Amino acid sequence: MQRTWNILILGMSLSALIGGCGRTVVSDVNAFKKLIFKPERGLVKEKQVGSILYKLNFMPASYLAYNSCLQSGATAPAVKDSLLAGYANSLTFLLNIGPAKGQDFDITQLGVANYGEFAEQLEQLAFKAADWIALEVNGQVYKPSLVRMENINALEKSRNFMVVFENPTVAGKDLTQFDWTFVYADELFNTGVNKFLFSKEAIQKIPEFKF
Amino acid sequence: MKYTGTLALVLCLLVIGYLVYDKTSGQNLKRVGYVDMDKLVSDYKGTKEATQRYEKKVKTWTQESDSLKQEVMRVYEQLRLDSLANNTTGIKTNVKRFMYLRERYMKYAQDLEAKAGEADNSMTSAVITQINEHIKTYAEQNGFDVVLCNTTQSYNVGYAKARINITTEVLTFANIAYEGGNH
Repeated sequence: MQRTWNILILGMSLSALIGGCGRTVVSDVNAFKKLIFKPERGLVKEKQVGSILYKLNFMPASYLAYNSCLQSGATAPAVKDSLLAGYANSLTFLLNIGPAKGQDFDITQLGVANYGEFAEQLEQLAFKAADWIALEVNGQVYKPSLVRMENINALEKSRNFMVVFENPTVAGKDLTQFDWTFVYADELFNTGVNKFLFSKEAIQKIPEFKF
Repeated sequence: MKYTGTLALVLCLLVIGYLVYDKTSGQNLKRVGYVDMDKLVSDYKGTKEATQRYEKKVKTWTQESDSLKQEVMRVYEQLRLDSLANNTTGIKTNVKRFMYLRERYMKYAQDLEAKAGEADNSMTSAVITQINEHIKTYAEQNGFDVVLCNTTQSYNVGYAKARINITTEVLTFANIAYEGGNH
């Protein structure tokens, strides 16, 4: 009888342990990248409107911290923890704006007739994009604290924007309990309001990356 | 009993014949649908949100214009009082100020009209581009070869059976896509 009880308790403890640890733990960066950049996992979004293609990736804090460590060469656990804590306080997205599939033009030169217009377009992309971006969570609208255009003078046809929302909170609730809608209300390429939905299921399924 | 083999052979040939006919005739079939563009545009969530954003923008511009107008009126009133009081220094200062503000207001009001028109065109064109994209994706995903569009200005479809009217389906598809959802 005692043995049956022991087995039962052990079984219950194991179930609780498995239930509590729902997130997959990954320690290899390539395996992690494969998981987070796989479109089926819902963290990579694409939208084509007219001649423009928008691509949006959610960048998990652990991945950003890993990249920072890699770039700075920091290996000390204290630095790693501090970076992780810093990134954990914000939500980061990578928005790529480029030509639609089958099209071939540099996004910074679309619709410009002369150097003056090109310079103005570049300036708007670099400094105005923040005004056109927002994150909607549970009816609340958050504006980005940072939008940085990454490859201004690059030879690529598209441009990357690192978008950071600092400390978005929903009345003390965990943000992962809600769907997130990233809004890009374009004022430059005449593509209108573009929304990208990140479901709470996709967000909750983000694997834990330990490096 | 002696005809069983022949019967089976005939049946087999019939089935094969039907399958071949079904496959080849299906290749020539074109799936056609049509949409009521006016309904699509008016009920599309993107139109509603774009209109709200446009109205908000125009409201802000109008408020700026109104406050400028109030300032012009305030200086005009001051000028009138200066004139009644025969305050020559006040008149001199306020005339210059009045002229400057009035010109600024006139220019702002003129620009506002042009800006509002431009924003309206841009909003409409963006919404149409989005809807066209949704029609294209819907057609591709649902095996349509042709999707015709009817509008009140341009009535392209003279007659069509109601069963090929896919406005509701495209609208549902477009609204889900607009909210960022996947199909």
